[in-house]
Amino acid sequence: MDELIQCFNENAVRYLVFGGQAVRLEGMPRFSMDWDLFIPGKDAANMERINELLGDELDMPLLPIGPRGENLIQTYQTRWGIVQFHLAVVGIRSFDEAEAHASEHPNENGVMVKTFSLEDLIASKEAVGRPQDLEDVEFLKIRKQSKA
Amino acid sequence: MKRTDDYKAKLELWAAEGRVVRMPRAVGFPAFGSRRFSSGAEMNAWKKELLAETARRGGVRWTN
Repeated sequence: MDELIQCFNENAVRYLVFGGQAVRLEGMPRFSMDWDLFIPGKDAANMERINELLGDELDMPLLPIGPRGENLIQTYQTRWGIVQFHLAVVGIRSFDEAEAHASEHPNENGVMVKTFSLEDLIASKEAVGRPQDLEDVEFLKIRKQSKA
Repeated sequence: MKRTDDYKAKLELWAAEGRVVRMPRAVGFPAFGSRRFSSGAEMNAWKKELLAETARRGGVRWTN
């Protein structure tokens, strides 16, 4: 995934990693089968940039969100792994707000990854509320205290 | 001898260190075409089926 993240960073793609990978970047040894990326659902230029940069990796283009929530989540099997683009995220008011207080973490190879803030990670996981999300929340709350 | 696995202590240790652990890569998921979903529930149902299909095929291989 380093190649993809670096490419997004170098080309000023607006994205935020959240979900299991973001929890891992906070320090929890945790497996996740995919990468969840929040992108602004109505930023056509950003979406077009992603479509151009990923080219043949996408067997169908990313589309903006529809009036009834169509295309909310778009999943691709790429050479870097399974990538899921989310055009809205439960528990998060808007991409712009999440982006305004986003975090940046070096991953295990030193590549800078833009992620949700701890507060937004907690909010999104609490909103989904599956058992694994609640385990993550327990870790994230301790992490937040340790950073305070 | 008493043996315990203190999960909360692990969380506290991981949270204090904040060390990013390299994740092994899973190879061997069944090939699938791209998908578009209108809700998280729809996506989670698909993901559950993908994992079940992966298990039926013998699981994934873990690589570095």
